[in-house]
Amino acid sequence: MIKLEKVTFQYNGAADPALKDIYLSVSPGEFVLITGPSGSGKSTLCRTLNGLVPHFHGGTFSGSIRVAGLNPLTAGPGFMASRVGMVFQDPENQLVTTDVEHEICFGMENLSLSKDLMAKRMEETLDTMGISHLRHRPLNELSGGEKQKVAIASILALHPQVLVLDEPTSELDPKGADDVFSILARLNDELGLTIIIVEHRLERIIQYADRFVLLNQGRLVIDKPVREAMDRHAREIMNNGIGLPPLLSLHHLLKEKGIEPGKPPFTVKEGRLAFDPVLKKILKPAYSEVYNDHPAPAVELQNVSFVYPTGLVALKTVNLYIGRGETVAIMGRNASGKTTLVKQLNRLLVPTKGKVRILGRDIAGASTAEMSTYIGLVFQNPQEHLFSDSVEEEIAFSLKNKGLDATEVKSTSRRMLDKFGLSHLAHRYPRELSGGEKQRLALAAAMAGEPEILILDEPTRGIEDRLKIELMNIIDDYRRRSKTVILVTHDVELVARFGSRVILMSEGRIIIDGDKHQVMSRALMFSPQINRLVQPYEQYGVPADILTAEEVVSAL
Amino acid sequence: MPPLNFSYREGNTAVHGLNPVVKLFWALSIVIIAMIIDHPLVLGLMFLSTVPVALAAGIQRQWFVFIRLALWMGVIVVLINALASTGGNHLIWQSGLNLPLLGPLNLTLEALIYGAFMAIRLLAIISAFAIMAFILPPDDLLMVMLKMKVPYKTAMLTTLSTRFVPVLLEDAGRITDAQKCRGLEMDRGNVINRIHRRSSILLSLLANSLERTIQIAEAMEARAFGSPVRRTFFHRLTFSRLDGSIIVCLSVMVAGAVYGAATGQFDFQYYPALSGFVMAPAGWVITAVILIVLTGLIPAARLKQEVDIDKA
Repeated sequence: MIKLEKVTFQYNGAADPALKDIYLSVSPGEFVLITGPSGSGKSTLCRTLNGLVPHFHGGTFSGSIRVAGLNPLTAGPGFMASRVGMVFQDPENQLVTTDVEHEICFGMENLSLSKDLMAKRMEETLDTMGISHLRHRPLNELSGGEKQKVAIASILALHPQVLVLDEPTSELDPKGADDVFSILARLNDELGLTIIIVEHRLERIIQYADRFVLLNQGRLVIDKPVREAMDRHAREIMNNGIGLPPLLSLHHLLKEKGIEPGKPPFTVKEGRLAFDPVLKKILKPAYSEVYNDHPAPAVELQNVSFVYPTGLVALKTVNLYIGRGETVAIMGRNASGKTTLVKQLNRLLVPTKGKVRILGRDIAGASTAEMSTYIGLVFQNPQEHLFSDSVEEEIAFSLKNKGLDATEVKSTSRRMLDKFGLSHLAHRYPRELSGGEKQRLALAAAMAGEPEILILDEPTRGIEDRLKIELMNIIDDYRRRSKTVILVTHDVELVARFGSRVILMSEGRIIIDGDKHQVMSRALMFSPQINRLVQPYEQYGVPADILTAEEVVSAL
Repeated sequence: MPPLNFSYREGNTAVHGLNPVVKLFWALSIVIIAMIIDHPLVLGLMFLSTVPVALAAGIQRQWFVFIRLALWMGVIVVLINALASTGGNHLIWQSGLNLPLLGPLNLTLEALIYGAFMAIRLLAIISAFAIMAFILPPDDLLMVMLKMKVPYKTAMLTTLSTRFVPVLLEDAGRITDAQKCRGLEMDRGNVINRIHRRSSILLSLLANSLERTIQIAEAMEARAFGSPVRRTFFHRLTFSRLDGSIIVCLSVMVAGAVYGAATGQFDFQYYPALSGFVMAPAGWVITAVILIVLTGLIPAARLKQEVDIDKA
């Protein structure tokens, strides 16, 4: 179905090729998972398959390529569209009409299909994707997951032989991501559609894949059947900056300890089969709880309610106390009020009712900019925080804001740049940095003024495991200096590994507030994979609040 | 202030159910008549006739945001006209000052009234366009443009840009929030500082939009946009007899107004003294036609809704 031989591609103006000597051959009906750190060439590889590279993105291409019986180099993306469907990251940037029906028609109309054929395929596609109830809905009212399903539907209507997806769930919440993945699995299983998907979060997708392909710096590092890759190449995968799913991480840890746990498990059920003898041996609790009973106040909310101008009640009489030096993860479904809650703390939003105290003081009347010396708030997209002409100025701005004099500004910003590994970029224009560098810069700029409270809203969405760990180390270091850190996140596994106190919100209320072991265990959606694995073993005396692979191993 | 979002609002009111061509033609007729006729009665009528349409479409909240903006613009028009105009017999206030270029700074009743009616003209035009933007889905606008023989690519790009208005506004809101968190004071300091800060938001917004544009172009190309084959269309604009009749009525109304304006039926003098309020019989007849056609729009929409339900 797909055959690449010695494919090398270099973008115009780039110093190095984005792809180097790639050999890849995919049979019809295969489900291929492509992964790799950012900048490894995954997206470029996807785009060679339908001719966007080199037709849309110019550059030098060498080697030979055949996809679905055509040569994308000569056919071009317009003609390839009938054979290769492509779904992109951000649903917002690939929908071009205003309602579902028009969107599904767009590609078919471009290919000049007859009206009868379009009508037939429309019904077919809506049913296959399970979105017929959405057919007349305007796109801007759909959730991210629904939008992405519409994007897939609009591609399926073209009856492609290959479906290529470039990180289709990086903008979605876990529920939306699960929905998209299970549909892909069905398309592959029942329709025999060849699927090529780029992902760096493996835990939700690995069970559906046949092949595992890892790219790094434009080279194909691993290309193996997925079981074999997980069994024999786990160390190599991690060395390339890709995190293993928790179950496989446990498998790997056990193997390193000399315990042979059998085949690598991809689902929780497979995990129970594989680890059964091991799990029955766990008896002692795997962690020790550390409590500081009476920390000085950092954040206090008294009966805070918030109503948006549209009439949407986003917070309902919320009471909350967060002490200095605490790390708190705020979790919950989309639109449960998480972001609205943290926006109250620096007056991006002003409570409709109730009081907010920061560091013991009532903040009524303060402006967000004034609050920035006490609270650093960084949103998901680091780029939006940046506005200076150079990396150094970006950090200097925060320091000047805090009232430091010129020499202090200079020395402190040097120190910050050093600490965040940005020194060599000091004079660069912030927008030219890579995604990971921008993230570090936004964080450095927020932390430069040493705010007592640091809030990160979805800091890990769309970033790979290596950067995640780096980020968490920086944050942990900050907390040790008795600063308060608040994380707003959907990332259950992240909180299981790095969190301590967890607040679960739903419909504008705090539902549970407690230690992560208490909040995240014995549940389904909000429990990490390892906890779901050990839950049934409670009857054997296994502590049911184990959350991570490391905890399992240390409890053996 | 709520954001100025002039993108389509979903709704299933009778007004939403009107034929897209009718929606466009209605707004254009109001604009044409308001532009060519000076008579205060007709200008007032043009604005007032849009109010029930906004209400019937259930978009009064979003609509009012624009009306409020238009009112502010109107106040400015009235002020400038009152101060700059030297015509008018009825002096209300005399400053005694003599301004260079403008002459003596006096306030006359005529200048005030003239300004007020120019403001109402503005109000009518903004109101009609705002309502049209709210009730005409971009996909329908695309079909109307194709009907008018606009090339597909041009029409597609026009409607695509309207689709991204809300996305852009959301981006702008997020960027403003993010930069405030960094310590940028948006609403304090002198004008130059404020402009400077706003420009940093615009720059970020521009960079964001450029990225979006490239991704959209990619996604469109991957779905065969611009492929050399002749494009087909799944959705077609259909015309019922009722739609045709509404368009004929609107055309008669516009033709009457043009005829009336050309033959001086609506001549109205604001300066030096208000005169010409009483029209010739032909003027009254045309005004009556305008009144009947415009007030008939909503009942016609209801009728169409019933007919459509019967058909379904």
